[in-house]
Amino acid sequence: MSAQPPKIERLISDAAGRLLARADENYSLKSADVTPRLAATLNKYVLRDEPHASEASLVEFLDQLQAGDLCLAIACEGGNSAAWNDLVERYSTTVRSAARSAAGSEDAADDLAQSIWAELHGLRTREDGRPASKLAYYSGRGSFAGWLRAVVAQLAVDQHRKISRLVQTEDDAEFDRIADDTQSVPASRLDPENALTSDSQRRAMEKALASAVAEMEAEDRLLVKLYYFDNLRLREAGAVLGVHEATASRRLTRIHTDLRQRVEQILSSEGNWTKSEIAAAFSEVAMNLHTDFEPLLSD
Amino acid sequence: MKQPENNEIDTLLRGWASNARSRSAKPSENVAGSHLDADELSSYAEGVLPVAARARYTAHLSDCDECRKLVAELTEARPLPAGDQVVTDVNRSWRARLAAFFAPSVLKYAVPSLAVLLIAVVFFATRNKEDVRSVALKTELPVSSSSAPSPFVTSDKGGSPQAATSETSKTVTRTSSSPQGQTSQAQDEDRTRADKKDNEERAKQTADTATAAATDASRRAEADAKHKSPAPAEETVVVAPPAAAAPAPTAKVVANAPKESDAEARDAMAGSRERGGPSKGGPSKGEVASKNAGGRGQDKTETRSLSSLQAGIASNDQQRIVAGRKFRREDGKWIDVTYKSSMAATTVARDSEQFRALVADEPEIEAISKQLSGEVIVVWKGRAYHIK
Repeated sequence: MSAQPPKIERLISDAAGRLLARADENYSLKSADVTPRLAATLNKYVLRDEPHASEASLVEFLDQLQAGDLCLAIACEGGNSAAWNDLVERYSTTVRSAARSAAGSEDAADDLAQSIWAELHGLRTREDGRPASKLAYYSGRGSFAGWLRAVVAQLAVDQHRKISRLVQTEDDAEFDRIADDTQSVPASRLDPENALTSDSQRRAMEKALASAVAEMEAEDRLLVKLYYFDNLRLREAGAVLGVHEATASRRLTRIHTDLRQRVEQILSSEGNWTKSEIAAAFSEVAMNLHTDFEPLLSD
Repeated sequence: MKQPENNEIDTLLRGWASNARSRSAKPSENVAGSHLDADELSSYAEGVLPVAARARYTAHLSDCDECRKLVAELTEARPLPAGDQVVTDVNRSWRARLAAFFAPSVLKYAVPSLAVLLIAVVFFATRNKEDVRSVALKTELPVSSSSAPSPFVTSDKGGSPQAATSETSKTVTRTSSSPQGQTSQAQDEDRTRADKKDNEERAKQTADTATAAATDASRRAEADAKHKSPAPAEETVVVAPPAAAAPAPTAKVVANAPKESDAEARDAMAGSRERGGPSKGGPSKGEVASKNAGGRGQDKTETRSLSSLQAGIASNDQQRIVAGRKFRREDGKWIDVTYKSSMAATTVARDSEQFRALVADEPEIEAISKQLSGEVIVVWKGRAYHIK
């Protein structure tokens, strides 16, 4: 914990007292047990972005933390057996269901759940001799159940990556070669001359599109990625952004308009394309792509 | 922006994304900086980060496939975030509710439904016209034989026959389900048919007056009442509209009205009873029907169907459909209609860990508990939860 200005330290200390009072069960934690966690959370989520945030906003932020969940996590990290009993009793179902949805099989889910409990207990020891538990990273900003789900999901990804690395052999290279071959000879291109023109057009347009997307605001770019790259539905993409499906839909329509204009600008200024060339290229590339992706689009 | 242009850019984006996906098949090829940790991922997915921090993570997520996929997975388990355009019923003001009630999307279905309802009512009324007339005529008899016509009789005569018929048809519509009413009607059928033509002619004679007074019938009835006598009939006229919605109180009011004679009182009672309660037939039927006629019979049919619709809407306040589940309001609690008293309910406090664990596994329950304030009993996967 970095040294805080005295004003903020006092503010955090007061908030710690209120947090302990708010919690249904505070496991006899002292204000000093909670203060470092509050300070770290405040730095991470507020002061890093707004070093001069008002006191009122800091107090509001601290008072919105999940008091009960945070006390439970801190008490468990401190080795409180009553807290551990509560943790297992309340959240074993959550861990189990999260592991089941993240893992491919029941066995894998069991392994994953076991790994999670091990991580929560702490496999390694810290400098002070206490186990380095993952619980030390729970800030209390979101729900503890949500945090557990995220821990399970991350661990599943890590395990998958490790397994993939082990399995990855020269087959990958072969696969890449086949994939490249497939890409380089699209089934719909029968005329080599047309194919060449169309491919170069397509590459130029994709390049302009990539530039235009990269220039977009992060929120819009995220929507594009969620919708087009991750194949999420508008409702799901909207939920990630915290907006309703209708809002996401309107936003996507605006993005289409903006992107079209920007791509046209790029092609015109950087590629010296005329308006008619751009219009023709758009319709031709879109038509060819539509043919290529028709089976996918019809889903 | 033209739609074809949007379609082209949409197709181009799909193609580009597909190519990019196949090019970066290996994971984490395009990582921008270090990955988000579990706390950042879950806080982002839950939408609880401060704006500036969220923007920082958004920038990372837009470039990092791995973190983005994790956040998307974690978000899937969460209910729709609050604060967007989706306004829950709980948070809506009466103004917003009213606006929503008359919103084009609602009217789009409500207007045709109302039209169909009206057509059905009119059709039903027309279909029973014969019965209606017979009842109307039957009730006319005492009026015509009355030596001292009361103000409402005047208004009756002022009313058009069509209106009287229409109004009476409602009475019959309601009373036709009553076996007593049907029996009484059958007994009087021959007599009423014999008098039918005469009564119609008499009604036609008064039609001119009715046309002139049609739009102002109630005012005229009041005026008549003031000039002639404060008869119970005037009371009945005044209380007649509420009788449509609440028949029982009307009967009470009429019963409490000053009585000229026992016979009249009985008539009035019978008439008012006929409006809501079981029909016994009787002379006052015609009076009650004609009192309310005054050329407004058709309008009243509409008013009544609207009022019944509004009553239905009001009763909807006692029912709510959330997350595809139907809840009814009972003793200040929202109770899942599938809940049975024999089911053992697990009590869960809203702020408890148990509740958080429950909603973490079943996010729909959180959506339900957010939209329904107070105590909620929800049946979920065969188990009942009593949320406090």
